[in-house]
Amino acid sequence: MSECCVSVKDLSMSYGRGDALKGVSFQLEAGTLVALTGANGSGKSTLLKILAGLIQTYRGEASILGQRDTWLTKSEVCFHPSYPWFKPGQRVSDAVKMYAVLRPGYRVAEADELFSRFGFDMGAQLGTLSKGRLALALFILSMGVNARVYLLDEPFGGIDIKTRDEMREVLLRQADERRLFLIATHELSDMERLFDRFILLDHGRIALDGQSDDLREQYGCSIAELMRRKL
Amino acid sequence: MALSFQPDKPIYLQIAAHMKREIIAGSYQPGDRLPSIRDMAMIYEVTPNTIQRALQLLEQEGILRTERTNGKFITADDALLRRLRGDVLRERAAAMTRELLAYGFSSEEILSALSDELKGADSQ
Repeated sequence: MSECCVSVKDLSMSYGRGDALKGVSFQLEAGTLVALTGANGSGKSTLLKILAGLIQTYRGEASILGQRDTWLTKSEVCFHPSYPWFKPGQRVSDAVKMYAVLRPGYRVAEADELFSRFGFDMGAQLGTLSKGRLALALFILSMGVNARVYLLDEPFGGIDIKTRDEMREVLLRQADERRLFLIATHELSDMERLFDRFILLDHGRIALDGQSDDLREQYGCSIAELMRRKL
Repeated sequence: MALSFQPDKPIYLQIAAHMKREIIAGSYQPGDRLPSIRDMAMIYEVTPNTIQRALQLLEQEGILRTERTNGKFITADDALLRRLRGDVLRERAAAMTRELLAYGFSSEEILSALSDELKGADSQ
Protein backbone atom coordinates (compact mmCIF):
# COMPACT_ATOMS: atom_id res chain seq x y z
CA MET A 1 0.00 0.00 0.00
CA SER A 2 1.47 3.31 -1.07
CA GLU A 3 1.72 6.32 1.14
CA CYS A 4 -1.23 8.70 1.07
CA CYS A 5 -0.15 12.05 -0.33
CA VAL A 6 -3.35 14.03 -0.60
CA SER A 7 -6.60 13.56 1.21
CA VAL A 8 -9.82 15.54 1.03
CA LYS A 9 -12.92 14.72 3.01
CA ASP A 10 -16.34 16.23 2.48
CA LEU A 11 -14.72 19.28 0.94
CA SER A 12 -17.05 22.15 0.04
CA MET A 13 -16.46 25.68 -1.09
CA SER A 14 -18.77 28.52 -2.09
CA TYR A 15 -17.99 31.75 -3.90
CA GLY A 16 -20.91 33.95 -2.84
CA ARG A 17 -23.23 33.13 -5.74
CA GLY A 18 -22.91 29.37 -5.88
CA ASP A 19 -21.15 26.26 -4.70
CA ALA A 20 -17.85 25.50 -6.41
CA LEU A 21 -17.35 22.21 -4.56
CA LYS A 22 -19.96 20.11 -2.83
CA GLY A 23 -18.81 17.34 -0.49
CA VAL A 24 -15.78 16.06 -2.41
CA SER A 25 -13.80 13.18 -0.85
CA PHE A 26 -10.84 11.17 -2.11
CA GLN A 27 -7.35 10.00 -1.20
CA LEU A 28 -4.43 10.05 -3.61
CA GLU A 29 -1.34 7.89 -3.27
CA ALA A 30 2.30 8.74 -3.82
CA GLY A 31 3.73 7.36 -7.04
CA THR A 32 0.64 8.01 -9.14
CA LEU A 33 -0.46 10.38 -11.90
CA VAL A 34 -4.06 11.44 -11.51
CA ALA A 35 -6.18 13.38 -14.00
CA LEU A 36 -8.80 15.78 -12.72
CA THR A 37 -11.31 16.39 -15.47
CA GLY A 38 -14.64 18.06 -15.91
CA ALA A 39 -16.32 20.86 -17.82
CA ASN A 40 -15.31 24.49 -17.33
CA GLY A 41 -16.57 25.65 -13.94
CA SER A 42 -16.82 22.14 -12.52
CA GLY A 43 -14.53 23.00 -9.60
CA LYS A 44 -11.15 21.69 -10.78
CA SER A 45 -9.19 24.91 -10.24
CA THR A 46 -10.86 25.58 -6.90
CA LEU A 47 -9.86 22.13 -5.70
CA LEU A 48 -6.25 22.63 -6.79
CA LYS A 49 -6.09 26.06 -5.15
CA ILE A 50 -7.36 24.66 -1.86
CA LEU A 51 -4.69 21.95 -1.97
CA ALA A 52 -2.07 24.56 -2.83
CA GLY A 53 -3.06 26.53 0.27
CA LEU A 54 -4.31 29.51 -1.75
CA ILE A 55 -7.91 29.25 -0.53
CA GLN A 56 -8.56 28.78 3.16
CA THR A 57 -12.29 29.48 3.38
CA TYR A 58 -13.40 25.94 2.53
CA ARG A 59 -15.47 23.58 4.65
CA GLY A 60 -14.48 19.98 5.28
CA GLU A 61 -10.94 18.63 5.40
CA ALA A 62 -7.98 18.89 3.08
CA SER A 63 -4.53 17.58 3.88
CA ILE A 64 -1.21 17.12 2.12
CA LEU A 65 1.30 14.57 3.41
CA GLY A 66 -0.78 14.29 6.57
CA GLN A 67 -0.63 18.06 7.25
CA ARG A 68 -4.10 19.59 7.66
CA ASP A 69 -3.21 23.23 7.00
CA THR A 70 -2.35 23.11 3.35
CA TRP A 71 -0.76 26.57 3.44
CA LEU A 72 1.94 25.05 5.66
CA THR A 73 2.84 22.45 3.05
CA LYS A 74 3.75 24.85 0.26
CA SER A 75 7.38 23.74 0.20
CA GLU A 76 6.26 20.18 -0.64
CA VAL A 77 3.86 21.37 -3.32
CA CYS A 78 4.42 22.64 -6.82
CA PHE A 79 1.32 24.56 -7.90
CA HIS A 80 1.09 25.34 -11.59
CA PRO A 81 -1.65 27.90 -12.19
CA SER A 82 -3.54 28.12 -15.47
CA TYR A 83 -3.13 31.91 -15.49
CA PRO A 84 0.15 33.78 -16.15
CA TRP A 85 1.87 35.06 -13.00
CA PHE A 86 4.87 36.83 -14.52
CA LYS A 87 5.54 40.39 -15.64
CA PRO A 88 5.39 40.60 -19.45
CA GLY A 89 8.90 42.06 -19.67
CA GLN A 90 10.40 39.20 -17.67
CA ARG A 91 12.82 37.03 -19.65
CA VAL A 92 12.91 33.24 -19.63
CA SER A 93 16.25 33.37 -17.82
CA ASP A 94 14.80 35.77 -15.19
CA ALA A 95 11.96 33.35 -14.54
CA VAL A 96 14.42 30.50 -13.96
CA LYS A 97 16.41 32.68 -11.55
CA MET A 98 13.23 33.65 -9.74
CA TYR A 99 12.25 30.01 -9.28
CA ALA A 100 15.76 29.19 -8.08
CA VAL A 101 15.45 31.85 -5.39
CA LEU A 102 11.89 31.01 -4.35
CA ARG A 103 12.12 27.21 -4.41
CA PRO A 104 14.81 25.49 -2.35
CA GLY A 105 16.30 22.60 -4.33
CA TYR A 106 15.20 24.08 -7.68
CA ARG A 107 16.88 22.14 -10.51
CA VAL A 108 18.23 24.96 -12.64
CA ALA A 109 20.29 22.65 -14.86
CA GLU A 110 17.25 20.53 -15.69
CA ALA A 111 15.08 23.55 -16.45
CA ASP A 112 17.85 24.99 -18.67
CA GLU A 113 18.22 21.69 -20.47
CA LEU A 114 14.49 21.48 -21.17
CA PHE A 115 14.39 25.07 -22.42
CA SER A 116 17.22 24.28 -24.80
CA ARG A 117 15.64 20.97 -25.91
CA PHE A 118 12.43 22.79 -26.78
CA GLY A 119 14.35 25.50 -28.62
CA PHE A 120 13.77 28.47 -26.32
CA ASP A 121 15.87 31.62 -26.44
CA MET A 122 16.67 32.28 -22.76
CA GLY A 123 16.68 36.00 -23.47
CA ALA A 124 13.16 36.04 -24.90
CA GLN A 125 10.57 38.04 -22.97
CA LEU A 126 7.76 35.85 -21.67
CA GLY A 127 5.19 38.44 -22.77
CA THR A 128 6.24 38.08 -26.42
CA LEU A 129 5.75 34.29 -26.61
CA SER A 130 2.75 32.77 -28.35
CA LYS A 131 0.08 31.23 -26.14
CA GLY A 132 1.33 27.69 -26.73
CA ARG A 133 5.03 28.55 -26.26
CA LEU A 134 4.21 30.43 -23.07
CA ALA A 135 2.25 27.47 -21.69
CA LEU A 136 5.22 25.25 -22.51
CA ALA A 137 7.66 27.67 -20.81
CA LEU A 138 5.55 27.71 -17.64
CA PHE A 139 5.38 23.91 -17.71
CA ILE A 140 9.17 23.65 -17.97
CA LEU A 141 9.57 26.07 -15.06
CA SER A 142 7.32 23.85 -12.94
CA MET A 143 9.23 20.72 -13.94
CA GLY A 144 12.36 22.22 -12.40
CA VAL A 145 10.67 22.34 -8.99
CA ASN A 146 11.65 19.58 -6.60
CA ALA A 147 8.43 18.74 -4.77
CA ARG A 148 6.40 15.76 -3.56
CA VAL A 149 3.02 16.93 -4.83
CA TYR A 150 2.52 18.57 -8.23
CA LEU A 151 -0.78 20.34 -8.79
CA LEU A 152 -0.91 21.31 -12.44
CA ASP A 153 -3.85 23.32 -13.76
CA GLU A 154 -4.35 22.81 -17.51
CA PRO A 155 -0.66 22.44 -18.39
CA PHE A 156 -1.41 21.20 -21.94
CA GLY A 157 -3.83 24.00 -22.92
CA GLY A 158 -3.08 25.56 -26.31
CA ILE A 159 -0.12 23.25 -26.96
CA ASP A 160 0.21 21.35 -30.24
CA ILE A 161 -0.01 17.57 -30.34
CA LYS A 162 3.66 16.93 -31.13
CA THR A 163 4.82 19.05 -28.21
CA ARG A 164 2.25 17.34 -25.97
CA ASP A 165 3.90 14.01 -26.86
CA GLU A 166 7.18 15.39 -25.58
CA MET A 167 5.57 16.83 -22.46
CA ARG A 168 4.22 13.37 -21.71
CA GLU A 169 7.75 12.04 -21.77
CA VAL A 170 9.01 14.88 -19.56
CA LEU A 171 6.29 14.16 -17.01
CA LEU A 172 7.02 10.43 -16.96
CA ARG A 173 10.67 11.20 -16.39
CA GLN A 174 9.73 13.29 -13.34
CA ALA A 175 7.37 10.67 -11.93
CA ASP A 176 8.72 8.49 -9.16
CA GLU A 177 7.31 6.51 -6.29
CA ARG A 178 7.53 9.44 -3.87
CA ARG A 179 5.72 11.94 -6.06
CA LEU A 180 2.10 12.59 -6.84
CA PHE A 181 0.87 14.42 -9.93
CA LEU A 182 -2.67 15.78 -9.87
CA ILE A 183 -3.33 17.35 -13.25
CA ALA A 184 -6.47 19.24 -14.23
CA THR A 185 -6.94 18.77 -17.96
CA HIS A 186 -9.37 18.80 -20.84
CA GLU A 187 -6.89 17.21 -23.22
CA LEU A 188 -7.66 13.54 -22.82
CA SER A 189 -7.36 11.55 -26.01
CA ASP A 190 -3.59 11.68 -26.52
CA MET A 191 -2.82 12.09 -22.81
CA GLU A 192 -4.91 9.22 -21.45
CA ARG A 193 -1.98 6.82 -21.27
CA LEU A 194 -0.23 9.16 -18.85
CA PHE A 195 -2.70 8.66 -16.03
CA ASP A 196 -3.26 5.95 -13.43
CA ARG A 197 -6.53 7.34 -12.27
CA PHE A 198 -9.28 9.70 -13.41
CA ILE A 199 -11.49 11.86 -11.25
CA LEU A 200 -14.37 13.56 -13.05
CA LEU A 201 -15.99 16.59 -11.44
CA ASP A 202 -19.46 17.72 -12.42
CA HIS A 203 -20.83 20.90 -10.85
CA GLY A 204 -18.59 20.52 -7.83
CA ARG A 205 -19.30 16.85 -7.18
CA ILE A 206 -17.39 13.72 -8.09
CA ALA A 207 -19.22 12.11 -11.01
CA LEU A 208 -16.68 9.34 -11.57
CA ASP A 209 -13.47 8.19 -9.92
CA GLY A 210 -11.53 5.11 -10.96
CA GLN A 211 -8.29 3.47 -12.07
CA SER A 212 -7.83 4.08 -15.81
CA ASP A 213 -7.60 0.47 -16.95
CA ASP A 214 -10.44 -0.58 -14.66
CA LEU A 215 -12.65 2.09 -16.24
CA ARG A 216 -11.69 0.97 -19.78
CA GLU A 217 -12.41 -2.64 -18.83
CA GLN A 218 -15.69 -1.85 -17.11
CA TYR A 219 -17.14 0.50 -19.73
CA GLY A 220 -15.44 -0.94 -22.84
CA CYS A 221 -14.49 2.50 -24.14
CA SER A 222 -11.74 5.10 -23.94
CA ILE A 223 -11.66 7.48 -20.99
CA ALA A 224 -12.29 10.42 -23.34
CA GLU A 225 -15.43 8.68 -24.62
CA LEU A 226 -16.51 7.80 -21.07
CA MET A 227 -16.16 11.44 -19.99
CA ARG A 228 -18.34 12.53 -22.92
CA ARG A 229 -21.01 10.02 -21.87
CA LYS A 230 -20.91 11.07 -18.23
CA LEU A 231 -21.24 14.79 -18.80
CA MET B 1 7.88 7.03 -31.16
CA ALA B 2 5.94 5.16 -28.50
CA LEU B 3 3.64 2.24 -29.23
CA SER B 4 0.10 3.36 -29.93
CA PHE B 5 -2.68 1.72 -27.98
CA GLN B 6 -6.31 1.03 -28.69
CA PRO B 7 -7.96 3.64 -26.49
CA ASP B 8 -10.94 1.46 -25.54
CA LYS B 9 -8.97 -1.49 -24.12
CA PRO B 10 -6.99 -1.67 -20.87
CA ILE B 11 -3.45 -0.58 -21.62
CA TYR B 12 -1.79 -3.08 -19.30
CA LEU B 13 -3.35 -5.94 -21.30
CA GLN B 14 -2.06 -4.42 -24.55
CA ILE B 15 1.44 -4.14 -23.10
CA ALA B 16 1.35 -7.74 -21.89
CA ALA B 17 0.20 -8.86 -25.35
CA HIS B 18 2.90 -6.77 -27.03
CA MET B 19 5.58 -8.30 -24.82
CA LYS B 20 4.36 -11.79 -25.65
CA ARG B 21 4.69 -10.98 -29.34
CA GLU B 22 8.21 -9.64 -28.75
CA ILE B 23 9.14 -12.84 -26.93
CA ILE B 24 7.73 -15.03 -29.71
CA ALA B 25 9.39 -12.91 -32.39
CA GLY B 26 12.70 -13.28 -30.54
CA SER B 27 13.21 -9.62 -29.58
CA TYR B 28 13.41 -10.97 -26.05
CA GLN B 29 15.34 -14.21 -25.66
CA PRO B 30 14.59 -16.87 -23.04
CA GLY B 31 16.41 -15.97 -19.84
CA ASP B 32 16.87 -12.29 -20.85
CA ARG B 33 16.65 -9.69 -18.16
CA LEU B 34 13.94 -7.06 -18.61
CA PRO B 35 14.74 -3.35 -18.40
CA SER B 36 13.76 -1.68 -15.12
CA ILE B 37 10.13 -0.73 -14.61
CA ARG B 38 11.11 2.93 -14.90
CA ASP B 39 12.86 2.33 -18.22
CA MET B 40 9.96 0.29 -19.52
CA ALA B 41 7.59 3.10 -18.51
CA MET B 42 9.66 5.44 -20.70
CA ILE B 43 9.75 2.94 -23.58
CA TYR B 44 5.98 2.40 -23.60
CA GLU B 45 5.23 5.95 -22.42
CA VAL B 46 2.86 4.84 -19.71
CA THR B 47 3.02 5.10 -15.93
CA PRO B 48 5.23 2.72 -13.94
CA ASN B 49 2.05 1.36 -12.31
CA THR B 50 0.69 0.30 -15.70
CA ILE B 51 3.95 -1.52 -16.46
CA GLN B 52 3.84 -3.16 -13.04
CA ARG B 53 0.36 -4.47 -13.72
CA ALA B 54 1.34 -5.87 -17.14
CA LEU B 55 4.38 -7.59 -15.65
CA GLN B 56 2.30 -9.05 -12.81
CA LEU B 57 0.04 -10.65 -15.38
CA LEU B 58 2.98 -12.14 -17.29
CA GLU B 59 4.45 -13.36 -14.04
CA GLN B 60 1.18 -15.07 -13.12
CA GLU B 61 1.30 -16.82 -16.48
CA GLY B 62 4.84 -18.00 -15.75
CA ILE B 63 6.37 -16.05 -18.64
CA LEU B 64 8.39 -13.84 -16.29
CA ARG B 65 10.11 -14.59 -13.04
CA THR B 66 11.45 -12.19 -10.44
CA GLU B 67 14.85 -12.56 -8.85
CA ARG B 68 14.64 -10.63 -5.65
CA THR B 69 17.67 -8.42 -6.15
CA ASN B 70 18.30 -8.70 -9.88
CA GLY B 71 14.99 -7.78 -11.45
CA LYS B 72 12.70 -9.61 -13.81
CA PHE B 73 13.66 -12.25 -16.37
CA ILE B 74 12.00 -13.97 -19.31
CA THR B 75 11.49 -17.60 -18.43
CA ALA B 76 13.92 -20.10 -19.90
CA ASP B 77 11.31 -22.85 -19.72
CA ASP B 78 11.16 -24.14 -23.32
CA ALA B 79 7.93 -26.06 -22.86
CA LEU B 80 6.21 -22.93 -21.58
CA LEU B 81 7.52 -20.79 -24.42
CA ARG B 82 6.38 -23.37 -26.97
CA ARG B 83 2.96 -23.35 -25.34
CA LEU B 84 2.94 -19.53 -25.50
CA ARG B 85 3.73 -19.68 -29.23
CA GLY B 86 0.86 -22.10 -29.77
CA ASP B 87 -1.50 -20.01 -27.65
CA VAL B 88 -0.77 -16.81 -29.53
CA LEU B 89 -1.12 -18.52 -32.93
CA ARG B 90 -4.49 -20.00 -31.96
CA GLU B 91 -5.66 -16.77 -30.38
CA ARG B 92 -4.81 -14.65 -33.45
CA ALA B 93 -6.23 -17.25 -35.84
CA ALA B 94 -9.44 -17.41 -33.81
CA ALA B 95 -9.83 -13.61 -33.81
CA MET B 96 -9.23 -13.40 -37.56
CA THR B 97 -11.57 -16.29 -38.29
CA ARG B 98 -14.32 -14.76 -36.15
CA GLU B 99 -14.01 -11.48 -37.98
CA LEU B 100 -14.05 -13.03 -41.46
CA LEU B 101 -16.96 -15.32 -40.62
CA ALA B 102 -18.86 -12.28 -39.33
CA TYR B 103 -18.46 -10.73 -42.80
CA GLY B 104 -20.15 -13.85 -44.18
CA PHE B 105 -17.15 -15.41 -45.96
CA SER B 106 -17.23 -19.19 -46.28
CA SER B 107 -14.53 -21.52 -44.90
CA GLU B 108 -13.36 -22.23 -48.47
CA GLU B 109 -13.04 -18.53 -49.28
CA ILE B 110 -11.12 -17.86 -46.08
CA LEU B 111 -8.77 -20.82 -46.58
CA SER B 112 -8.06 -19.94 -50.19
CA ALA B 113 -7.45 -16.26 -49.34
CA LEU B 114 -5.08 -17.31 -46.54
CA SER B 115 -3.20 -19.68 -48.77
CA ASP B 116 -2.83 -16.95 -51.43
CA GLU B 117 -1.53 -14.55 -48.79
CA LEU B 118 0.99 -17.11 -47.60
CA LYS B 119 2.23 -17.74 -51.13
CA GLY B 120 2.63 -13.99 -51.54
CA ALA B 121 4.56 -13.73 -48.26
CA ASP B 122 6.82 -16.67 -49.20
CA SER B 123 7.73 -15.27 -52.59
CA GLN B 124 8.92 -11.97 -51.05
